[in-house]
Amino acid sequence: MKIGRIHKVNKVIAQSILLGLPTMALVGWFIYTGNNYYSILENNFISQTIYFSVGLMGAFIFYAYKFRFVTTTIVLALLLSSIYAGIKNIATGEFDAFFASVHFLIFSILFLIGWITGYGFSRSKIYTIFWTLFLCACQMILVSKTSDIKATAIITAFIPVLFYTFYIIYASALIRNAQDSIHGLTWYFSKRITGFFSLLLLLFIALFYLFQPEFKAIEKEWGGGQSNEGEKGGGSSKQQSMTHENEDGSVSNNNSMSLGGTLGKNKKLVFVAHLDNFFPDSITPNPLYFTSDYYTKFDTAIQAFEIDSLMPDNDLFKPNPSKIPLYFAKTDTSVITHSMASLDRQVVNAEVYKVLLSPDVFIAPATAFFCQPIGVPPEFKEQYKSAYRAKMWVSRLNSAYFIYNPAGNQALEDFQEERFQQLRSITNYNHIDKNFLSYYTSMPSNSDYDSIRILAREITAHAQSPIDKIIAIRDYFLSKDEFGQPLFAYADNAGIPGLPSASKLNYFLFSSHKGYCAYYAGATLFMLRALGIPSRVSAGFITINRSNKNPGWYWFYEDQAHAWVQVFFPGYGWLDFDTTIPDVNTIQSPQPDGTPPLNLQQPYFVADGKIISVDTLHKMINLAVNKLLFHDENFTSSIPVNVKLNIALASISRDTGIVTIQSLKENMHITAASYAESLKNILAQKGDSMASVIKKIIQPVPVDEIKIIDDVMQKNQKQQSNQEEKSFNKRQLIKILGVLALLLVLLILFFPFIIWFFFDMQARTAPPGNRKAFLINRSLHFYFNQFGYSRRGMSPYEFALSIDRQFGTKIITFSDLYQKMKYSNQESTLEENEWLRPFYESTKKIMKEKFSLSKRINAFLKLNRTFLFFKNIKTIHYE
Amino acid sequence: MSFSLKPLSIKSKPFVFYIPFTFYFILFSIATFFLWKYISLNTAIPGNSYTAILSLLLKILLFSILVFLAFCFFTVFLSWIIFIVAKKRHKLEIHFSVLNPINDQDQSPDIQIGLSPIMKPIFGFLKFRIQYNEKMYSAKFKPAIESKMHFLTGKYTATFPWELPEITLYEADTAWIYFEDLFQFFSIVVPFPIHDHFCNQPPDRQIQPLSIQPRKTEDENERIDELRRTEGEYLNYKHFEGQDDVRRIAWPVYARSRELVVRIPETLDIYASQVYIYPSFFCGFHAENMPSVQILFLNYYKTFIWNIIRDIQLKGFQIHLIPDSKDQPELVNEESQFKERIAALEWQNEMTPKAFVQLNNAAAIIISSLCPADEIKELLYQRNENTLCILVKLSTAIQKAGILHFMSWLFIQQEKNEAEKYRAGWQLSTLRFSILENEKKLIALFNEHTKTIIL
Repeated sequence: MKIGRIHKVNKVIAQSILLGLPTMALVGWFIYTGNNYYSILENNFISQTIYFSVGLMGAFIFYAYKFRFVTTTIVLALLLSSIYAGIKNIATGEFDAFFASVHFLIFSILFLIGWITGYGFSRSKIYTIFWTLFLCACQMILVSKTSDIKATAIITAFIPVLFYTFYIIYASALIRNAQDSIHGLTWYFSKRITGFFSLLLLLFIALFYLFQPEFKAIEKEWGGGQSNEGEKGGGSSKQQSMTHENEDGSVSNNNSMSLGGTLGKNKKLVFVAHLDNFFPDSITPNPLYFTSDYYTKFDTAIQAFEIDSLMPDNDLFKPNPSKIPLYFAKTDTSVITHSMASLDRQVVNAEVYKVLLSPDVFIAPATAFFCQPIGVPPEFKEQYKSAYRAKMWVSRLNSAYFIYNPAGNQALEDFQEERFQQLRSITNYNHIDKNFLSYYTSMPSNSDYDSIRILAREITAHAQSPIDKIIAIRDYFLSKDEFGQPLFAYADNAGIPGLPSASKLNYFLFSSHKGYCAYYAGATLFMLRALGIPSRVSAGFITINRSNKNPGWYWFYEDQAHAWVQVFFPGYGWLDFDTTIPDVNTIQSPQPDGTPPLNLQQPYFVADGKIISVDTLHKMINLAVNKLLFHDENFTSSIPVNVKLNIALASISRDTGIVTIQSLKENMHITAASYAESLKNILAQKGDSMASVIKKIIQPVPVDEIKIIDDVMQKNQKQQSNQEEKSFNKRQLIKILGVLALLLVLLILFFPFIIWFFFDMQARTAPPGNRKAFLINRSLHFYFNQFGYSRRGMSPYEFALSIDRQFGTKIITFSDLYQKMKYSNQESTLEENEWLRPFYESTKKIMKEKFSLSKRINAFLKLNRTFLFFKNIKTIHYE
Repeated sequence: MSFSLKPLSIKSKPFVFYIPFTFYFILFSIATFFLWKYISLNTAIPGNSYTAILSLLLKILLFSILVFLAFCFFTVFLSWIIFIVAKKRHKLEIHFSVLNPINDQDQSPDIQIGLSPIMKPIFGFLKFRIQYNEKMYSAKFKPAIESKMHFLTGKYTATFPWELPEITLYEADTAWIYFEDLFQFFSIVVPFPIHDHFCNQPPDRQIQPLSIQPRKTEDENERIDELRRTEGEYLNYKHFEGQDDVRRIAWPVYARSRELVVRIPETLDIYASQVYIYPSFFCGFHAENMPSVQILFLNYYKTFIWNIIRDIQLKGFQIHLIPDSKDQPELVNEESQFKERIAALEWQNEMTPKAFVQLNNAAAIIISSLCPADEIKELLYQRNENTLCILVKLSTAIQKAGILHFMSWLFIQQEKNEAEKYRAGWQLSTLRFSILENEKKLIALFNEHTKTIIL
């Protein structure tokens, strides 16, 4: 059964190039943007664009034939559904099935969209209109949500889709109306598309010139006004961030928090944590904010909050987990003392698995006092670079739920009310240390802050206790204006006051009423301090409980970097109070993906020491052990004890991730852990020393995990070599690209020579017969063509005659012979073959005598003649 | 063998043509309206950057659309004005001709139109529609296979393929010239009278070889300049050799047989064989209102008749075509006129085959399934043993639709031809059974006699 065609091949090619490629580029951009918002897409925008493109191109080719759309697409959809259902049944584990099926679902959706779009472009006039306007609408909404409010950024983001809208309507009309049999289709499309592009360009230049003042006005109003490049602390159009990226690509919280114009946000996963903190029902998880630093000082000059390492009663525990040997712990119980918290507290455990978080950073809910680096299960080592366990002295009155969140949730409302009631017992701060109070209630004496003091008093006029004052401040931020609209709003772009020296907080509180967490925290802090309530700004990560599937597990993305206020209550210590109005984007971030890294195994043997020797062949190392953790019991020795370790099955890692055995060097500081069953029943007795314990263990000890502890110098060296490698790679790449470009240019330049060489070789080496005549004919035609003697429009006889008259050759005789060989069923005679043999060489000789070397070289540099030859080659074949 | 026929013309009222915008434009307007509505909803809450930016982008989009629409309309309007002015000043030249297919395959004729002066809308399209036979309108022709627009003189020449529905004579009355913009939103039309007659000729087809012998002998005293090959002889040609002049190569022979031969000096060859062909268009059924009979079967029948004649021509006989229509005289031996004559013939119910066939000289009698079997019965008995009777089975024009056909219909778009279009009408027709019964009788009758062929 023959299936007729609707479009010929050349039209399908035109559709693919003129419609398909721009669509793929634009949709690719949309997918890329979507990946930034939805982690379920896992940053696989390249493969996802390919899925769409395959669907699109497949539909172009498929619907070039007379297939019906509805029935074939239904069959396709059914096929994809059955594969999807099959994957769910076949995949081995629950999470594998979920993983594979989600991937396939994404593939199916994108493929089908591409398929439908391909059909629409190929056959439907209507689809083009709706598709282009739909994409235009989507892009308008996306662009409007940008936090980078600059005229050039908005125009740059919007122009492509506007261009695409008009271009696709025109190109599809052009292709639809082109006859399949039109000659010179390429030229037909090229000239029209080029002309249209020029028209579009002119129109858009005029358009955006006309609207430029309006863009500038928006930039001024929402994007931060004039640029203040000389101002310390950042100009108006600079983006601020709560985190910064280190040289190794990891992420850390900033050491200071300035009030900038725009908060930059990223959706990358930073770390994953498990927190065993629950409400009294022991089922409902009670998330806590993860604190990295306290900002207790405010620099009025640069309007930034800063860390003060000399802050009184420093209750911040900041170990460097990368320096602590694996499974060994560091404890500082002094922080518990300094927290001055004794009421309603408990010890809570947390495990933190770092993805992008810097290896040096320790982050945990307040008040942490214990840090123990732990291993990452092998199947998760690719994702999580390192992990540690933390213990915290946590208040039962603390919770990550926003101060507003309880609305609508009775249990949480009750919890909030209960804690407020409990805290109402604190009515004053008369009995706390004066220095402490003075430090944590200090405010700048600048007259700018007088207005904040006045506002604080106004807001809390009817509040008695500190907690009621806090609630009053909260209510103030939640209040509505005379139009019934919220008075305050969350905005990544807080705007900048017109005068550079004006207080940004004042601008926030009294003019713009919009800002991000730093503004709310700063304003709350000063209002509380103005009221004599000790408070500080805490920086870290906001914890959002999004997944019901894994209670107690929390995923932290970069945009969850946050600042909030902690308020001191005598006896209860520092408690979190977050007055930032919720950012819907952060809360509604996608569901966390993947399986939480459940670390079930506890090592029996953990040795910390320096490598004496490495045997890469037998995969053994000798370790001089300084510290030993055996069945959770700590042993140390002033004299290192040598232990032979079998590392054949060990997973070796450092802060940056998994490394190979070749990374192990002598004198390297490592920690080796073993879960071997053979060690399970070997126990240390009372009075055993490290040496005696090691004696009990059969060597070599099978090791499961090795962690390399880099010292600072090693790290710097490594970073330097990484940088050099990167730059080396870049240089190498540039060199290679340069060479390739040069080769390409040479290839193009010498293209006619290459063709002639190939044709000539074939003609010379072919065996006698009809084929040889054809090859000689082709070769000679090419040769003459390069000299400007093309057969175009002439009959073979006329052409041969003109050449013979010009050069005194015998092309006519050859032409007659060739025509006979080509069209007749007769075989060539011996005489004819004999005549043919010297003819080719003699003709070339004649041409060489006629044209000097330089003229010949010049002729073969004319690329246009070569292209014309191949363009006209059809004519030659149809003589 | 099935035939692929051309789509029907549309019968539209002219006033619709004068609407200056297209359905595409309406669609675009609706879509833009919905976009504007949706975006406006999103900008309901003022006082934030999102609303401000979105409002501005919407403004820019709408402004761009307006600018483009204005540009589109302007280009079309300008072209139209130039054309109208030239028309009013009688400076307009239009050249219209129909080119019959060059090769023997099933190709529709091409329309060649030349206009001067005319200006194509910038990046836009010039399209045409032909009004023919007074009330019939062709589909709008797509931009041409070949077109040349001379910028300075404003001379436009173009060739369009025209898929004509019927094998018959046509009279082209008016050319409707459309000026369309680059987005095909606006379309302004100008009618221009043309008066031309042309014929949609029956296409060439391969049919089974026919053994038709001339039954009449005539002496002719004319020299025949064009050489013909007689069967069994290899007169007048020899194989091409190296020294032969290529200008003497007989290309028609090569086209037929791939033999490269040259002519040798002509000799007279006197023909004495005349072949009289009697195609009967007698229809014994009241099928005046059946489009499948009037168009589909008629085209099918004409195609067969032409190809039978073509087959005889290749044998080199002189042909006399005797139509059964009173106002159509006998036609002798003119190839191009055979096609036109056959194309002009219609079903008739006045002259039966018995009444018009001269049995003493008939070499071949062609009848269709519409001819009642009783009419033919006597003819078959009375005819000479050398007279060939050919039955053309009209029901083959519409192939039966089996399961495979249904399955293929489900997934594959069928050819937009009359065979498919009239399938339903034919299947539901009350005359279908009678015609098929008659056909069966004819087949049975033909099988009883010798020197009969069923095609």
